[in-house]
Amino acid sequence: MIGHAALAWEGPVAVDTEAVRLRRGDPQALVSLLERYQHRLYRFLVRMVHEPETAEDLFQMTWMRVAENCRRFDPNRGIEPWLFSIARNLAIDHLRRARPESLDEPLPSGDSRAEMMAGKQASALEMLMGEQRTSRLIGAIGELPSIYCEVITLRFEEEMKLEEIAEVLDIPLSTVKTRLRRALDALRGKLEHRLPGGELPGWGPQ
Amino acid sequence: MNRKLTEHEITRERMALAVAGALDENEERELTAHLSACNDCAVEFDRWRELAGAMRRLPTPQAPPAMVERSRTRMVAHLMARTEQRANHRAMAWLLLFAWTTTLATWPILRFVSSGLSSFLDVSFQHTWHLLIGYTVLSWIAAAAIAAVLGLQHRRERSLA
Repeated sequence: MIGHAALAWEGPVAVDTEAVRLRRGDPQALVSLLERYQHRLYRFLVRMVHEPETAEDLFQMTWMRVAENCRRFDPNRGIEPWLFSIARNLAIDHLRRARPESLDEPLPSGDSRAEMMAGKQASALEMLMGEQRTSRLIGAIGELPSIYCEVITLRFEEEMKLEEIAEVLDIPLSTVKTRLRRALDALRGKLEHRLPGGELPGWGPQ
Repeated sequence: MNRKLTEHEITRERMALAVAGALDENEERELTAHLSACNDCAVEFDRWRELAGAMRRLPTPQAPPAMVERSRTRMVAHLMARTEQRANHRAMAWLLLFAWTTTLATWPILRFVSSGLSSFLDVSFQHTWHLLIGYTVLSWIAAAAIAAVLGLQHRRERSLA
């Protein structure tokens, strides 16, 4: 019981200390941050841009940006939303340059140009991930516009709270909810569209 | 009949948000109540839950170690360069302060030692400004030499560390 209480107390203290060290520009604090978030941040970037090579470039740019801005980090703000918002802004900048249409919400009536490119993206991800069913889901997520893709990956893969997502995306909480609902509806539509008969397969535990 | 249909629609609308944990307590309660009474919606909700579970179980692409190492090296190098730059700016500011303080503080002492008390008290002496400028220049040359020695020593210590 006491041990549990001590552990529960240790968490925030450790994060606070790290935030202060971060503001001092302590290289050790940044390195430990890099070690802790390397896979999650890379996953987020892969989901956002769908290309591992581009995600690698953005990953490196993210950490350079972290090193440049760490002294301006607000200790009252969570490290995680701060970190993901840096990565997200870089990814959005890249997408804006590379294929601006991927940032738009799809028209209810028809496919966007992003969907035409999706076959290529999905196959690249399928090779990366292997399993067919998982690849199908990743492929369907990859076909979504970035504003849906990011909200889904932040909620379900990063398991961020809605408030944290709002902070990362710099949008109101109500907009996060709206986007989440539309994103999930769109994802469901993509999955049903991809399967003969329009039925979802069993997504339960394998 | 109409009311029943509306309840179905509302429930279906809320299912996606429910699996995302984005419903408030009241909405959650209404959804649970409807699901316990409606088999079709319960089946549909199971599909949503399975989809959400599948998304949570998606494999995490592993960050390539070489890329992580490159990021770490570049980040640390950038930080060290910034830290050194800040330290240099701080040292320069202190050096400026120290040089001016030393010059102004030792000038009256020098005048007193070199010319005696009467000359020190006599403010109308000749060449005072020339002497002051000369003394200031000499002080600054000495300060620059000290800064260079300290800087070299600091760099040597850093390269050994």
